Amino acid sequence: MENKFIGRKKGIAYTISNIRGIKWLLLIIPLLFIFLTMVISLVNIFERSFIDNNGFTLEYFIKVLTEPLYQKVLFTTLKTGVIVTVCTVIISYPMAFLSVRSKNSIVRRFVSGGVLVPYWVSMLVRIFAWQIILAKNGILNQVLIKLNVIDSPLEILYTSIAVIISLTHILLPQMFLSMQSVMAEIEPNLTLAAEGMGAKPVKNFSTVFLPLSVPGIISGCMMVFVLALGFYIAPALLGGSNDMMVSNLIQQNMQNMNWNIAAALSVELFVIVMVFIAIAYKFVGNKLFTR
Amino acid sequence: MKIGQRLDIVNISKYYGDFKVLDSINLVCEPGEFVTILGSSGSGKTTLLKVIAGFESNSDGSIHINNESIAKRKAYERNIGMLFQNYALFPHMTVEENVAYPLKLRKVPKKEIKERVENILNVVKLNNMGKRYPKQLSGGQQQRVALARAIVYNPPLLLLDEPLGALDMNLRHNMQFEIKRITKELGITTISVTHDQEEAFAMSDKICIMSDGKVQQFASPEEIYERPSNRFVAEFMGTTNIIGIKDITYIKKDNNHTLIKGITEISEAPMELLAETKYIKTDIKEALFTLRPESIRLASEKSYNNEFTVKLEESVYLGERVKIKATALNKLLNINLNVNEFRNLENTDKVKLVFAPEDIAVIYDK
Repeated sequence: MENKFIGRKKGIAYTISNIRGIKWLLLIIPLLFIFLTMVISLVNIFERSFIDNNGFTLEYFIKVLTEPLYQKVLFTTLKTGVIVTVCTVIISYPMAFLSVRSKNSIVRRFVSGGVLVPYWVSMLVRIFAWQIILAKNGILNQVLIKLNVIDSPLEILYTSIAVIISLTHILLPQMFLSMQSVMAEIEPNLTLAAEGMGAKPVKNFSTVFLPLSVPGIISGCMMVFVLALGFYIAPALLGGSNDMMVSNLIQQNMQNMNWNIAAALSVELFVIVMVFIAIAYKFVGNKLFTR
Repeated sequence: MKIGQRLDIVNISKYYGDFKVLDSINLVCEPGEFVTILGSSGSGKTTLLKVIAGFESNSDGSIHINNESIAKRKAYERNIGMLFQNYALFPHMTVEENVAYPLKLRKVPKKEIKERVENILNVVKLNNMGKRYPKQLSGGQQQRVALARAIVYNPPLLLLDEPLGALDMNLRHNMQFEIKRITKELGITTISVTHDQEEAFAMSDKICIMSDGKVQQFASPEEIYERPSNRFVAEFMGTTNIIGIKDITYIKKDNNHTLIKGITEISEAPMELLAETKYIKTDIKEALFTLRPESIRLASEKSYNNEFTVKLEESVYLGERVKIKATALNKLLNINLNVNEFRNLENTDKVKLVFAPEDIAVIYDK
């Protein structure tokens, strides 16, 4: 019994945790930080979206929801989000599967590393890289022309395709990690058990592994979709003016001092994101937020 | 209806590079027999089980169920039941769905699935648990579900991988009898893998002792305990004394038994041993024999041939019996004495002990 506490008595953590009121201080500092940075600004945004110099008004929301330009931008944003999410699912799933189930440990490490190493490279660098690759006389077009696949260069840069490609690339690790963490929890014995009971590989996968990996897919989709909806830099640097996304529209309105419109757009995006999170939470519950 | 079939394992070997994990294993399980493969970790017992199940391939040899070769078949084509150590229940399915899973794969009609699931849940005494998820069950209940799922499709062979390893002591004893009862009721041929001797003795018709990828002995529990075929088996099966004997002369011999005489490590006077004739090779002059601690008794007034003197070194009370370490001519012996006998000892430096010639087993390898 005695030994158990020796370490604690002498430890720095023990000394610090004994200072009066330190518990509350440690709680208050982060709470205050969140309050100042998030809560106040959020409240401010909400306020500005329906209160202007003349008092309460729904004018900005009506404008945001009914004007064709804003509708189009919202639609483009949602469309981009969905496409990016689907692309990351399609690419990540087999990779995550390999990273937990491949019998070859080199393959397992290589796949995880291949996805995660680019994650450590600055996002701006990656976006500029895509600019170089996708430009009219960029690497991609040059290669395709050399290979006689196309005659004249493709117009990819400054279109939504470029945005989708770069967002898929940027958000891939999020999807991969959330799938991988769920897949790693699936006991390999379950697959063996199903095999022993007579399940052929495809049936085995579709009845055991796939359903058990669904929470990973859903939480990954949630994360990627939500992040894609609010993404600013990639569409700003790679997208065209024809397929602007909501975040760019917000920025534009802010530049033009249309604070109320910018706020209304922000609230709109915020509500959409919350609705999606609520739906996903309903399906997978707590697993949505566990890594 | 008895569903068990005969299993023949012929010359199964498996190599990892140059390393032999399994070395020419031969085993025959009669229909309905309960066979335990007993060995310490690294003995190859789990690998053998996986090879039978089809989860690992064998490098050599063949496996037959009911005289049909299955070695080339994939695991999902073998129709073997398997109980995993951690049960491997599907967490996203209820108990009923888990048990129905192998039947659905076999495209059994829905109505029949329902009946068979109900039946088998009755057999494992889980009638009211069908709608629950595995997480909501205790360890013992989960194991019953896993067992039900492994036998519901009437496989000719059931494999158990450390079936009781994850259970606590009380439950373990219960499940030993339950598993034995169920497998006997269905007449299913069963192979269980364990490192637990008590479990092996309690459950098995036959025990196969493995070490270093080889079968050391394959026999009934009694025979393994009383007539270990080699030194490894003798030492593996609980505490025993292994004693050398030399200058063997053969006194009497009939079809069953042979009486031999020789000088042992524990006494200067010659001793008599009764060996089984079928194990005797007449030209041998030296051998080992095992003498169980409980076969050694205090010498009484009546004279015995096999008397020897020991010096007590150490004793541990175990309630009714006392575990003793003693030396006889510098040979350390394990002895098990009755408490009352032990209390009456006067001179612990010179204790006269005795054993009956038939209470030993002669071993011929060193």
